[in-house]
Amino acid sequence: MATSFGEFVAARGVALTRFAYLLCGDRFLAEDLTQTALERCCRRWPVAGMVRAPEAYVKKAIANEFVSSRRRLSTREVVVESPVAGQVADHGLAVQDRDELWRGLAVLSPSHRAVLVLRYYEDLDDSAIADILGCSRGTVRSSARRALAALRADPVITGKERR
Amino acid sequence: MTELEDALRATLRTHERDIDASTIQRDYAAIASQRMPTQRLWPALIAGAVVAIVGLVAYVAWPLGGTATDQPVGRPTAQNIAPPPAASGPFQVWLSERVIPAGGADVAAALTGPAEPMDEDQQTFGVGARVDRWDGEQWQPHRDVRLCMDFWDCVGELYPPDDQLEVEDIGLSLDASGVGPTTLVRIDGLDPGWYRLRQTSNDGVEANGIFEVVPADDVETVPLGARDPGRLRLQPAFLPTTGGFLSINRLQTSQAALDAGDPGPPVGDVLDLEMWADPSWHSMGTVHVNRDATAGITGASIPELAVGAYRLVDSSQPVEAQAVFWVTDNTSATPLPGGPQ
Repeated sequence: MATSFGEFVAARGVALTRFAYLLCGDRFLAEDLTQTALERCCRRWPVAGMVRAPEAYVKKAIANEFVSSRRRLSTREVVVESPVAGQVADHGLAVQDRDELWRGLAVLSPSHRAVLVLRYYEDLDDSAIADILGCSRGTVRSSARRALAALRADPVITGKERR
Repeated sequence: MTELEDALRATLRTHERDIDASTIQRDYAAIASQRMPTQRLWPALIAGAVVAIVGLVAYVAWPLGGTATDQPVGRPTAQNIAPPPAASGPFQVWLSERVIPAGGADVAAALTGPAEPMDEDQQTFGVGARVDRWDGEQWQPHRDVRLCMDFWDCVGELYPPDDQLEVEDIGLSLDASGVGPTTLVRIDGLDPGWYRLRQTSNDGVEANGIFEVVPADDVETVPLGARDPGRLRLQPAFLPTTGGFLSINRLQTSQAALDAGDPGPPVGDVLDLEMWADPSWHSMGTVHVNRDATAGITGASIPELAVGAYRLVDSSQPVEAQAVFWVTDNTSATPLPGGPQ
């Protein structure tokens, strides 16, 4: 059953913005990414709405917009939202680990970060990730391997991980 | 899964909660009403008004006495050049893209003409062609063209005019449905404006297909896929929205095998049907392949589909094979084979 664009946005707007936020790490940029992707999809909604999974279609647009926009803006500073001072101490070690990882994610290349978000947040397999990012499964595997290696190489994160 | 991967999953789940409905400041639903990026709305409205005014002037200034087929095919260009009249005549060139970014695009082309032609209506064209540019009043020769057949491992190119271009001496004729074989050409190096791809038969009969080159970088064009050996070949290149039959072959993987008369790997029994929805292909289901051993035809009946680009994917062999086809309708400026001219 075809869903209208307005209904789709009302139902999935938050989820789409969350996905964009996990990719880029900045809530305002996430809204930019989501809006840009929705604008692209809106123009093609009669077609996009026909596909079986419109949310996957829009997320694909978000991921591609993120990777390509980061490429265009690669000379700009990467914005990383920092937790408010005091919050880390209040939340204990587990949350502290996560904030370090969050900061580690922010310095990864856009494509590497996208692979990790798609694998560990969207729970997609390599084939589906390759489809979204327009690359081969081998590229997905090597990107994931390098991204994880980069996180392990972070001295702060390395100190926390225990194999 | 390592601790790091577990921690990654937990980190992402934790930070997703940084975003909720109350933190989102954009009104995405407004996109549906404006149907255009906010930052481009005003320039687009201004441009639209300019185009409307220029179009009105062009329409009023259009020579009197024109016939229905003299109607312009689209809007004036930014250079205030009135658009050309739509292609007319019994033979035309169907093009997979009619709006092409100045950066270039690979385009499929196929001759169209009368279905079930009488002998006197038969025409033979070739892979040599021309690109003419519309100067606002008439067509001016602009480029020579070598088209590549879709089963060749190449995509045709444009060349400077009068470049003594030599092309393969082969004949292209239309089948009983009024569609010729599919050819490919990369259209690039052209300034924004109106153009036509023109093919001329051995008897001097012309077939034209009009396209526009636009400066925008974000024009969507459909990727035709790699020219890999072993890919699928479909005929015809396009179908009406009501569906139709596509003949399907899997091309030989080597010239040696071809020379030896090897029929090549068979087409699988079930192919994936995918639709292009920028920026990627999306699954639409599967189609079953029919084989008529007597007639030597392998193909599939394609169901009713919306206008757009589609591809069939054969995963029955170790190396996946695919090919693109298009679904078009009678409202297109490029007519359907045998349809109203």
